[in-house]
Amino acid sequence: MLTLRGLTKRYGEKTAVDDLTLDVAPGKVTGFLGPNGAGKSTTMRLITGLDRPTSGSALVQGRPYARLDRPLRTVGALLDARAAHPRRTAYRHLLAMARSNGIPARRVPEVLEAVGLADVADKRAGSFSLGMSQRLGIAAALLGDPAVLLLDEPVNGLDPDGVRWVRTFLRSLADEGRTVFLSSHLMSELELTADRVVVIGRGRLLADGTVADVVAAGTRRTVRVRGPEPGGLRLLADRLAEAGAEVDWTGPNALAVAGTSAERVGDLAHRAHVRLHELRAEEASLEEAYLRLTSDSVEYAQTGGAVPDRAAAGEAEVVR
Amino acid sequence: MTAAVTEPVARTVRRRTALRWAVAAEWTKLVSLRSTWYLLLGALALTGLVASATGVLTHDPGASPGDPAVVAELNGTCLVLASLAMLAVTGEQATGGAATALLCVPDRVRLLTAKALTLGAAVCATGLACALLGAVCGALALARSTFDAAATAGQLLAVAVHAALLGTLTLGLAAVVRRSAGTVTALFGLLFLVPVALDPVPGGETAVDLLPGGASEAWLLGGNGTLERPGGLLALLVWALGALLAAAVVTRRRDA
Ligand SMILES: Nc1ncnc2c1ncn2[C@@H]1O[C@H](COP(=O)(O)OP(=O)(O)OP(=O)(O)O)[C@@H](O)[C@H]1O
Ligand SMILES: [Mg+2]
Repeated sequence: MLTLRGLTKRYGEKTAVDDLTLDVAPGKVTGFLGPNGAGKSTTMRLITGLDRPTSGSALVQGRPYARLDRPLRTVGALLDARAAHPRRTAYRHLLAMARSNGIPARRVPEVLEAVGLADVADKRAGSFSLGMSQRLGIAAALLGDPAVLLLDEPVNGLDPDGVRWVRTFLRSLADEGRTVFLSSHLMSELELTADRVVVIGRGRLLADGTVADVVAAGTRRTVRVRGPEPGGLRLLADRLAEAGAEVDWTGPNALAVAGTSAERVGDLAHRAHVRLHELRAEEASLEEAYLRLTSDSVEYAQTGGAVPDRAAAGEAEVVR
Repeated sequence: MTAAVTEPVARTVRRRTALRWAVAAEWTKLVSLRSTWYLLLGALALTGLVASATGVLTHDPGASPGDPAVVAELNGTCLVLASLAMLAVTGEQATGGAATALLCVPDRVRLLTAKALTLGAAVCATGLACALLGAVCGALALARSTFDAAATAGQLLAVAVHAALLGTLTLGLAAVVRRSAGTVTALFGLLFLVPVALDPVPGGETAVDLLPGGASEAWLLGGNGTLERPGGLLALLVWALGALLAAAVVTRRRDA
């Protein structure tokens, strides 16, 4: 159980986390979404007491992280893939962590086995690939068999097999009644893994609810229509517009209709005797909902064609 | 009534246990890095070299075999051992290890205490080993000397204590500065540059005697113009604890 109340963090002028109030419930996988720089990692650093909030509070199982007697037994956190000293072996890294919280040393081979790193236990962490480092981070998070898991982009760098493993694994952890809070940019992945999603942008809460709720709130269902007769489609488009729907031509023979249902479009087409070859209610996706929700809070967006092409660069030279 | 009594007791026990675990973790981290062992070997080699050279160059029938060990400690060994203490902090800061350490031991003062205890003990023990080696080399290299077991043993212990205190001072500095380069600069400044700068100032000589370098000489060589041997020890203690205190204050306030 995580309890954030008015959590705010400013770095100088920059407000990284802005008055965030949130409960992350046990027994569920909660996804944490937001554009680059939205404040996800900062929120996790505030929860674990690495950074001090400017105001507000973050409680883990009702207590500040720093007040936990054996924090690793309560919270397993993966905040940074490169969390180990590069010249220490994976085994020693985990052993030191285990000792720090009075966790028996036999847990170390167990978690190494669980994440598939048993064979490289005696290799230095600095020699690991990103995915292996990520697995080591997950092993570290599991060390204390914690009730709360905080994972910052855990599948970043994992191979498909690893991604799937993390998905089923997190699911089973949540089913055991643990609190699982993970950030990710992989929408399709979260749609499969998460029960709830929390979306933030520029440090502020944008959405918080079940995946279905957020998708419903964030998207407008569109109906795809295709037919062989442009004239008939034009007639249908007019009728739809009269009925208050929004119609877009997506091709000479295709319409995208928003603000109505497939049933309604079908009925209107039938009444107007318009032949259709396709009538399809488009599946709303988390990705769409996310993009719509965060469209105003993307800070670090790429502008189209930001890299000047050779001709333009050449011209600039001439002008100079 | 009993609850009111047992609760603080229970908390003290929990704190002690937590500190013991934190020390165990620091120890595991220290011995699992190859650089630790290289530095130990380096400290021993340097001590052997300097002590032998000192022995050869000393022509004093009253010299103690402990003298070359003391000279070695003052002229390099203590710095090698101090860098061991420094790396315990800056080596973590340079990698993701610092965040991991705080996730494991979020109480910053406890973490700092654990580091100081672990590194203090390790440096003290290594300092003693170096001093022993230095005395052996000294005894072999000195043409003539006067051996007094108690006096020599006292010198060796003094070297170990000195190494531990300078290591602790360095650890505190490192925790404030966080980077190796900055820590080395600060330490060299404190040991070598500030004394040079203070020397011409009126009353500067006294101040120089109170600095870590002056205090080290007082403690190891038996007094400078201002401090006697115990005064030197006291001054070193104040410097070491002062650095730790500064580190505690700073790290409690600062983001990781
Ligand atoms: N130590 C710091 N000093 C100054 N600014 C910081 C610091 N840490 C984070 N920020 C700023 O706070 C904002 C939030 O950063 P954060 O890392 O939390 O974003 P994020 O949501 O994790 O992004 P990403 O998806 O790229 O991982 C960014 O604008 C970042 O520049
Ligand atoms: Mg991040």
